[in-house]
Amino acid sequence: MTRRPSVFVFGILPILLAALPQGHDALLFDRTAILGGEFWRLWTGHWIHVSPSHLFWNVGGLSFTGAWLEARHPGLLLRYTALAAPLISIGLLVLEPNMITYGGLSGLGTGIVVLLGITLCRRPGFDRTIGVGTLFLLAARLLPDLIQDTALLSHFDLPAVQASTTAHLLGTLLAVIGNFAGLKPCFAGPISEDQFDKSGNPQSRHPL
Amino acid sequence: MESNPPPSHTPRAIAISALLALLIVGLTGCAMPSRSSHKSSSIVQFLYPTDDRPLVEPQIPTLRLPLRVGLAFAPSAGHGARGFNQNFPEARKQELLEDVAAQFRSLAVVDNIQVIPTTYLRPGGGFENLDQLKSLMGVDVIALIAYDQAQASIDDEASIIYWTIIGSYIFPTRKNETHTLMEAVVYDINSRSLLFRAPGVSSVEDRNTLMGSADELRKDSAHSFIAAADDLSTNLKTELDRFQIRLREKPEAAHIEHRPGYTGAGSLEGWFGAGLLLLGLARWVRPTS
Repeated sequence: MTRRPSVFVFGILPILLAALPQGHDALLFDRTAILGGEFWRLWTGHWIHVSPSHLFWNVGGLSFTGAWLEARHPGLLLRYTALAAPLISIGLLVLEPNMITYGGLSGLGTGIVVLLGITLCRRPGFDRTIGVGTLFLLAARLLPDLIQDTALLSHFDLPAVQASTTAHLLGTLLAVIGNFAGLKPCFAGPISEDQFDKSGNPQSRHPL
Repeated sequence: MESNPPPSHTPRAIAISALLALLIVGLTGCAMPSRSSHKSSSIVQFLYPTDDRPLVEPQIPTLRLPLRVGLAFAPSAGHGARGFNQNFPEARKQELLEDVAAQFRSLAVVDNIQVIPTTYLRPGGGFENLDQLKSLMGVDVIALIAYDQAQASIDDEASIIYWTIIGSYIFPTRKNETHTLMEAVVYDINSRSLLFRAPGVSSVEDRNTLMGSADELRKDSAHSFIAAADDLSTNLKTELDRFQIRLREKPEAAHIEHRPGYTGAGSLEGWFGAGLLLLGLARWVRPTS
């Protein structure tokens, strides 16, 4: 049951929207429209994808990691998504003045991977190894973009579409800030075995 | 006693000598001397047409992605253009341009590529001509294709057989050599910087008879242009890949920025998704600590 939100939010919903391209104009992150008062686009723009492969990788990756995070901390995924989606959009409005439109879940996705990595790191045993591996993997994904701006040369099906490193960095930053600011679990040190219930979830900590 | 004077052979001897001389001259005239020809269009002649012009100082290019690329044959200086047009079929020329255009289109960093008619380029037009193209056609980067073809036709020692006249129709003692170099050079128009170049080469050698030599040279010329164009296509793909790697590995080689008005997209890449999946599998396979 706990996995349903992630499957719907990151699996079914973006696929449904991809099947209804006539609605994209009203939902896409569009700088001019947002500044004209269409604020829902701050949320909805993330669920619009520019190509089938773009949709495939984002939906595949996020359904999986989202379900994993939900299994560990029910509710955290939706809270993070609800808060981070508009903040990433606002960040893009401020930091990427040349970007007119934006679409894609990966800004949110990188944040979810960060939260999953931190969550697993706080767990004992093999989970921690997996958590460290997840964070290293994410670092390997983001650092080249950060250092060399290689995202500019990333391949999209449509040449006029450019990968946005800023969205990934904002998603990561918001997850880290959220982690320290109260979007539990926080990176406050490992939890001992007796703090987990039978299903492996922390007993003493509650998301938000 | 009256003796008869010996018959005079002088008129006959003169006639024979004259006939032999005519034959020699005639046969020698038939035997064409070794010859060579040269056809070319030159990037240097186009970009730097006068010696007294100061060299353009290239700057570090600023590439605004996605790029808009123009593609054209460098105009010929004139003397070889006719031969080039005859021997390099128009259809193959279009094929070459389409091949090159398709390779550029496959790049993530290229928005569109326009094939520019040669009439838009003036011989010796230089960067001023490219600036005009930039304004007229909205291209940032230009890919110019130039060619250089040299042909030589040499008789070997056995060509003495041509003296028999019939030998010049039968014995392939004439050696034809055709060497072609095609080159695609890609310039950033604003900074006057050479981004990269790709060569295509071809050498064709054959032997033929004296009488068939001219036709064979024309055929060799066409074949050599086509082979060089194929080689150019292959090398261009390699150079385009290298260029992208160079942009990644040497960011100081070019400033890269987004063109205003672009669409951004965030994507988790395939390898990253696969990595996450592997970690998940590892956790699933070993569920307890």
